[in-house]
Amino acid sequence: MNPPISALLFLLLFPLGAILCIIAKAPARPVAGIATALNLVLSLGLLWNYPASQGGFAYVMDWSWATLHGLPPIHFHLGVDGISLPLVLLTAIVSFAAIAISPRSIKRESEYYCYLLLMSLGAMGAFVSLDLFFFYIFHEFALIPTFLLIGIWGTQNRQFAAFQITLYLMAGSLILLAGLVALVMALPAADRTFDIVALQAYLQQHAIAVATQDIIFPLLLIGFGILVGLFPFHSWAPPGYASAPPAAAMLHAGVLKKFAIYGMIRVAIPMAHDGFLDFQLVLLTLLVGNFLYAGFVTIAQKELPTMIGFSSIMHMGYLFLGVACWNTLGVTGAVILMVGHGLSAALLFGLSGEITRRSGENRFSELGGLAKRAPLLAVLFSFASMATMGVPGLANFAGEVLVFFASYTAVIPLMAIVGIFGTVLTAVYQLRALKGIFYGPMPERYEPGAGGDAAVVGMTDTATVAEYVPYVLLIVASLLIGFMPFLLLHLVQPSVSLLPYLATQR
Amino acid sequence: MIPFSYLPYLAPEILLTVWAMVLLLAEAFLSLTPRVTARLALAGIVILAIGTLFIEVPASPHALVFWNGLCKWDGAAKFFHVFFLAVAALVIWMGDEVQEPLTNGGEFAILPLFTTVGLMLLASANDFMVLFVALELVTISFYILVAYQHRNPVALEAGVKYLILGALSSAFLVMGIAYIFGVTGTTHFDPLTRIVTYRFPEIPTALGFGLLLVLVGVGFKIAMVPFHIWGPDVYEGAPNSITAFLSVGSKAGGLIILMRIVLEVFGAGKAAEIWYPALYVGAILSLLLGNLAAIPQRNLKRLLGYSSIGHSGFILVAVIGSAAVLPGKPNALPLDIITGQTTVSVYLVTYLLATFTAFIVLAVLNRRLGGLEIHHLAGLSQRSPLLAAAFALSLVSLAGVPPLSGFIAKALVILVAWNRHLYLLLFFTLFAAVAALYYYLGPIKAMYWSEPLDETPIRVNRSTSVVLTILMVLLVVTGFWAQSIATVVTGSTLAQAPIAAPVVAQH
Repeated sequence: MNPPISALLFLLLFPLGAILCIIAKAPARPVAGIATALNLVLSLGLLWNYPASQGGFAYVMDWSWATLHGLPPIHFHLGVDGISLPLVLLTAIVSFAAIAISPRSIKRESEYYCYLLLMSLGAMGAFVSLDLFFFYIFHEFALIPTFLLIGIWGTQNRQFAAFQITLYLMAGSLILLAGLVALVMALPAADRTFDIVALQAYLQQHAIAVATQDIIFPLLLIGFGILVGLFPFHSWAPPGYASAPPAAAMLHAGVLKKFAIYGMIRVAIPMAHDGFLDFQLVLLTLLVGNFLYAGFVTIAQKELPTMIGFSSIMHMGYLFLGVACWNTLGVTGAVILMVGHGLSAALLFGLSGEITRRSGENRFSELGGLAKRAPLLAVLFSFASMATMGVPGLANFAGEVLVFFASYTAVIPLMAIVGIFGTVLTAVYQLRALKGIFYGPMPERYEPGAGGDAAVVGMTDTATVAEYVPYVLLIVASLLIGFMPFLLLHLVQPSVSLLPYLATQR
Repeated sequence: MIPFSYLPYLAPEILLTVWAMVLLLAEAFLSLTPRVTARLALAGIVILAIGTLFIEVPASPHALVFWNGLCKWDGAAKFFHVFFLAVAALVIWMGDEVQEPLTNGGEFAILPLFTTVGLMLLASANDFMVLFVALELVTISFYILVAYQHRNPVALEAGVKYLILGALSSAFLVMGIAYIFGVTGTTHFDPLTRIVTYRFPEIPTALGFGLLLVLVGVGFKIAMVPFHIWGPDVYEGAPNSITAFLSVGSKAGGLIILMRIVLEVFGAGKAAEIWYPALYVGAILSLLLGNLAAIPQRNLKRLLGYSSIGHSGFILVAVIGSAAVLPGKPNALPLDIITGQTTVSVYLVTYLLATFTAFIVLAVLNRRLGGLEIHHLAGLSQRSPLLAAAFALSLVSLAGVPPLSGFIAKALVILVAWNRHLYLLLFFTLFAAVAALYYYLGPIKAMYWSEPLDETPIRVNRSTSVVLTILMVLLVVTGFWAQSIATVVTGSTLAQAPIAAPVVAQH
């Protein structure tokens, strides 16, 4: 018998309470900060207490929620296992960092923090839900806040970017919805359920006809693929992230996009496994587009935010590759890489915002030599670049290396080689960015005392230590996982090995 | 002789007619102010609505058919009675509290009562004659309401357009009924159902033609493409409360008769071969034209007018999906039929909440902004956070974004379409939903991004802000706590006529 209330509920109640407080005219920034800090502490506690060696779902609560005549009942069913718990922690860390790096003085402050909290709440809810209804609608919480965040606080071509990202993601969500509906309705009426655990248990006994799975899986793949930016459904992401305020880009690229990979692991592949096998080659072929096409396009970018946007698309390829192997090693690697990439993407988007804000510039051609004026920023950016490149000692390496091993032993060994070539491309664009911004000759207007331009004055490292805390937090988390990957490995692997139909490794 | 034991089932209609007559006389001879008249009308409706909730419904699949089969009472009839009363209450409240006061405005609160009587009678009609009389009562009172501000040329244009096209559609309907009567010799639904199901191996051309003519009349009511031409113009010209009334009440009225005709009377046997292609094309055209033509609209009422056409398309998908027999598709299980019909009810409830929220905001703004173009909304979120939030929530709900109530409706439509193998309709539903989000985001952008031209805050009176807050809470609650809407629509289905069952089983 499940307890009536689980600690997971509080992960949702803290942001919700903070939103209500802000609507009731409480000071926005402190309230949002406290709520996300509480979530961070709570998720660390949950991690600590989780019986990692067994795997399986913990902190389960299950409320009967709604029964619509003729449909299976909806349950408010929460629970986490070794796959979703790291993502919960990631959400908590990135949410806290996103709130913390937001500028002190921002127009329409209370609205801004409400929308950020809504995004965080949505991501958190999606990761802890074990019912398809809530799994889906929590993710959609972020749709309209993203639109408003880009529209109100965005930069560059924000109008186009906001409309594009919202419509594209809505299309993806609706296709995903059709896929989920098709999945549930494929069961005989008496056995239909929205409960992910029950659905999984049933489908393992009575798989859906292969012909039906061949319709369901592509729907799910395209739906999740649009949400994650799988080639060729990626074009919404770079302009969207480039225009978004840094905090929104951190939350979206770092956390929300992971929902789709999580959905592939939790729903699409285990529940429509025959469909997955039939489309495995298609998926792997598309990933070449993510690795090579997105990789080369990233190199060609001339502005920092769009470069990071394209690079985050490219890195989705590694996550998909790990998942597409569908063996213990690959999925474990994908989960660890999700955390690693979430941290490094959040770091990069945050730092990119910081560089743009201080220098008033984001084109590589106009930047250079800033390490002299802002050494701390340079150090942080170097860490972020190394993490993204997959340098050993940072979390991304731990994940990527597992994914490469897994894919080498799985379907097509060639994919591992393409992926490894992709890391070379990553090194090219990340190092070029690092050099272009922080090293080489410095434009004259950044010399001390030159001009007196407000933006240029801000280039010096006058920032207080407190402003660097969120970045340091992200780097420390990445280093910790990088140096001690067994921390996550022990957590993730037992739960992954409980997944059905895992391919045996050669 | 009138069997009095059936009186309770027609009591809402009778009592509301009496109350409307009393108010008319009182208004004339006691010189009541429009405000008092409106309050009295509102009180009558609220009491009736509560009373109607207590009228029992016979357990499905049986319907209570009374007065020589002229009327019937089943779950759908009860649901629609309460639905129309709720709509009327909001309309009268809007006319009284929100809109600019009208001179000689007493009838403006009394006429909606007659409309409501007509709508309720539509919901329990079991005979084409009753149906036609009820429909005319609705339409004629709408002619007056639409053109109520007849000194305004736009309103006058709207009134004339509605009158001419409305009369035309009534003519089609009567013609259709005449053909059906000519072939079958009856206008009662029950014998008609038996005749359509059992007598003809193939549906005679004249009967099919009659059915199509009836569908034209009904299509006009629900603004189904290609009978939608009146929609945007009339929406723009009519007073805001009446636009909302047309958009929700008139559409629901059309839907209940559509469901009675195509799901009950022509639901079994071969008749689906006639109406299925017609509604199929109508649904696709409504989805496409409604949602695509809304994109270039700059006037908010016209925008909502086109979007209302689009919503008819979504609902039509659910109506088609609740048919027992569809040519070329597997027969529906009883569960599928219930799911389909429940979807229509859910859609209407969520549509009611969102539409009235939107039109209440527009009615407030109409007095303050000097126009209802999208650019007039610029910076509304700073001038009145409440109005901006209410309008944004209603639009997002109409677009079907979770966790608002519109999502439940859209998700159910997708589910029904998938379940009945209506894949092409499913595709157009998805396409239309994305296109719809595009034009719903336009006003949101204006309210939240654009800088205000005029900084003065807009004040909202207390009752309006209370009602708007309640509607906003309901929009969120019915979406997230799905049990609330499930409770409202439970049992809101047509009684499955017992004779339909064996026919379905034969296939």
